[in-house]
Amino acid sequence: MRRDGLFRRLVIAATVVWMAVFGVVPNLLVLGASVSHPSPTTFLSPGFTLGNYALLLDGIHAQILFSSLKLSAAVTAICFGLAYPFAALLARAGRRTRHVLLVLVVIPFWTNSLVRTYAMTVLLNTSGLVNRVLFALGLIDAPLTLLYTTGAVVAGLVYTLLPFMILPLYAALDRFDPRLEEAARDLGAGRFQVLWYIKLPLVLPGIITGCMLVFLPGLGMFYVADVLGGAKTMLVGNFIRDQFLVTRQWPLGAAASTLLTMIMIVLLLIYWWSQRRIHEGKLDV
Amino acid sequence: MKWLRRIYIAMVLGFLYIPLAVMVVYSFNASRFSMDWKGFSGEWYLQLWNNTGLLTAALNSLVVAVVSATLSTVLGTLIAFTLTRWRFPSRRVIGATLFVMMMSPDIVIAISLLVLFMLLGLPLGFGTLVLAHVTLCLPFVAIVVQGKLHGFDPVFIEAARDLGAGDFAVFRYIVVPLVTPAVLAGWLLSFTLSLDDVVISFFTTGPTFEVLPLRIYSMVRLGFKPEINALCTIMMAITSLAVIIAYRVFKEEK
Amino acid sequence: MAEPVLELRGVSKRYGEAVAVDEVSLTVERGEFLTILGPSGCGKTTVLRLIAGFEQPSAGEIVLEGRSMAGVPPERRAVNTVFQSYALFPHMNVFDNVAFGLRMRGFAPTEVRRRVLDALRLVHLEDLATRMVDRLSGGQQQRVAIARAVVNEPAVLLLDEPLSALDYRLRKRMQIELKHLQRSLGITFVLVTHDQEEAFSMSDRVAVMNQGRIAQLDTPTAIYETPANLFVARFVGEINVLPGVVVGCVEHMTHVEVEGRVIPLSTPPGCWQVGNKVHVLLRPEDLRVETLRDLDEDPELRASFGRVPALLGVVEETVYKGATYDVILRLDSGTMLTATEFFNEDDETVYFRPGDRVAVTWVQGWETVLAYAP
Repeated sequence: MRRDGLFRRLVIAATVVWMAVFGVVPNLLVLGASVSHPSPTTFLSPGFTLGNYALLLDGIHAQILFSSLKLSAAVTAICFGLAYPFAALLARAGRRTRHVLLVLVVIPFWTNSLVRTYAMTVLLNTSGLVNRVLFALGLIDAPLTLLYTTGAVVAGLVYTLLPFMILPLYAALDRFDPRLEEAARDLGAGRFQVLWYIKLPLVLPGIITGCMLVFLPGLGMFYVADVLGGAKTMLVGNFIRDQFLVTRQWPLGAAASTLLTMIMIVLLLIYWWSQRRIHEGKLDV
Repeated sequence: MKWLRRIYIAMVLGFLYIPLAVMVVYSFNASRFSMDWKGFSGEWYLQLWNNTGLLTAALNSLVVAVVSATLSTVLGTLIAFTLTRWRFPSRRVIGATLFVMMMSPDIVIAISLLVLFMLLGLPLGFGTLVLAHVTLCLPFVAIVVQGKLHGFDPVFIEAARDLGAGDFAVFRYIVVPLVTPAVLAGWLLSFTLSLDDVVISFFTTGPTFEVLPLRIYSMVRLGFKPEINALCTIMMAITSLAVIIAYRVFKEEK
Repeated sequence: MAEPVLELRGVSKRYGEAVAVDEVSLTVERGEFLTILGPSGCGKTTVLRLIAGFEQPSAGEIVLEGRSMAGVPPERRAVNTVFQSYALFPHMNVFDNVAFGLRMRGFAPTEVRRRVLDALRLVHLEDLATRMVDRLSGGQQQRVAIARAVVNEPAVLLLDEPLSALDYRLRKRMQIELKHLQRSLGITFVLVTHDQEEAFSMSDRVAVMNQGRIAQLDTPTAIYETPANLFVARFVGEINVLPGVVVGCVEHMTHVEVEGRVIPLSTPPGCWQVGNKVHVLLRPEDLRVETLRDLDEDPELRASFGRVPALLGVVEETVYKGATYDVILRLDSGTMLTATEFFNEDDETVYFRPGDRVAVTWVQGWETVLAYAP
């Protein structure tokens, strides 16, 4: 019994210590850094100021921030538009087809995203496949500059993140019992009402998970913007990296990172709200 | 209607696979500078093999992935067990923290750990990289295993207790064997997460310890080289193989 | 004759090559309780789904209250379904589940409230209105499913194996409650089940289905006592089937040779001709068994032992059934028979022992004769 009591206490202590040191403390440090004064020599000097946040929401920084948010929102919307019909077809497919299609989605999901981003450059090159096809079709007579454009970054992000939208949507749609649709129609609900009152509330947590898994990396994956977008600072991720490794303005970078964390927390709260709605029936028809 | 569906599925899959296929084809192209097809060649693969810097980076990546996957699997399983079996004050906070950590953007994890390591005065290299990757992977393992633990009937634990097993024995002889598939899945997931990671490695390793994704990153930024095609093809082949094997193994489990 | 509320006219449903429902025609009268009974895969659930509108018939027509239902979607049909697994909406509480149909039809909130509470009172769930459905027991979920359907006052209520998920005692109780509900509401019920006891205890009429067709449609008594074919006879309760040959026909009397004995049977005139091969069907409870020993010792018993010549055999086994017991016996020809015996009022022990020589007979007219089918 003594040994078991000890085992339990050791494991609980290890858990708490690990979670504190690697989960809570680093985030508190970043939060602390974001309200510190900048310092050209020691990265930051202790103190309390909201100046970094003011700087972040001002002028050129605000522009970077908002264009990054817009870009990621567009990527999320495109991914959702592509993924939803695909996931719905997948959830309705026969067992064998479904297994094969799932494996085909999971392989890119697990393939190194840098490898996949690189593959996109091969395609979008001035002498790459896209230009060649367009040329062969007679649609263009000089190669288009596809690489190092905003469009290339959007395409690259959609390409790398699409599986992260498909899989949660599929999981949610697969769990959804199609008999509930029949039951609702039996009770007089039309197609739109079935979607709005029955299907959407039950699938919503999956939709939010998918959007979160696309929207947040869409803000942060700086290497995709580097490789496909050239030297321009396009994403919040590039901005944070530059503050930490190039201009050495840690407090400003920390403020941007805290902003990302806050966006994530808002999305998580929406997710929890959508789940609670299911489990506690807080729905009005 | 049926054709429309098939065409749609084919289009999405085409979008996912055509870039990769083009890359694979070019990795066998004999031409060094042009994108024109100049005949079949395995030359770029040979060059990879002779590139010691690249091989070292690949080996480093593999070591980091195995070590951090193993560590995060052990720790993650323990944490999942702790959270489901025992009630203690910070339990709910830890559960929520795990979820937040799993959803955190890589860049947020990366710079927060960078700040931590700097504060602790740890030199950036193998050690910090492993710690960072364990931090990245652990929540995934904990949540996958927790899902499995929630699923299983507490009657097994009660039966073991009835037969005289203590906490440790329950963990060792009842919980571990029952959750092994989930634990294996967690390990595989961690392994690929670690191999796939660019952002966190970028911030938490030093110049003395280079890993493959960072090496590829610097190569890619310098422009098109046929060796990269070859290297990426190999990495993709390994991932595909791992996915198919994992899929077979777990399908038989069920 | 009452007016029909629902009519199926030559309705078929094919999935590619497979025929699920094969030219089914039936008429359901207003206020009737009709059960479709059959083994799994016989097409009974498909019939229900066709009526509800989840499937469109490949041929034939469904008429509800005088209107053809061709092309009418489920939400515009005056029928409601109690689903096999209930299909309660997991993200709504009991009240909202029951209110759903009324709200879809745009009832005012006060009216919705009044009707929902009435419906919940009907199924004794008025105290659980705000409970989430996943916190209910199986029996309670069943009641919610019924309330959710009847609250809309459908012309026909469809029930798809509604009691199959419940345990034995609860099932018995719900059978009585359903029948009571149907009587007091006056709603037409069409129920689908594979359980003949359920079918018989609740229905006014039963349609036995086999391989997509209706094998017999009649009252429970008629189906049990005069099955129209071997399938119905065997599917509904236990029955002994003896092969025979017609050896003589005189007006109302047919003589059939069964098990080496010529037995007179009462059949309608002109039904059979000499040489016809037939099946003679006998319910176990209609058989009368006595030991040869008793018959030898007791002339009075012998005299009352029926006019049908007895078949001889040996008792193989007796099976205790509670109120009755089954005697399994082997006739001298090798054919096995089952007979059900009641316990003697003053002797609660099984009378027959394995190995006893016995004679079997029955009251003339209690048998059913069908044409021979292999």
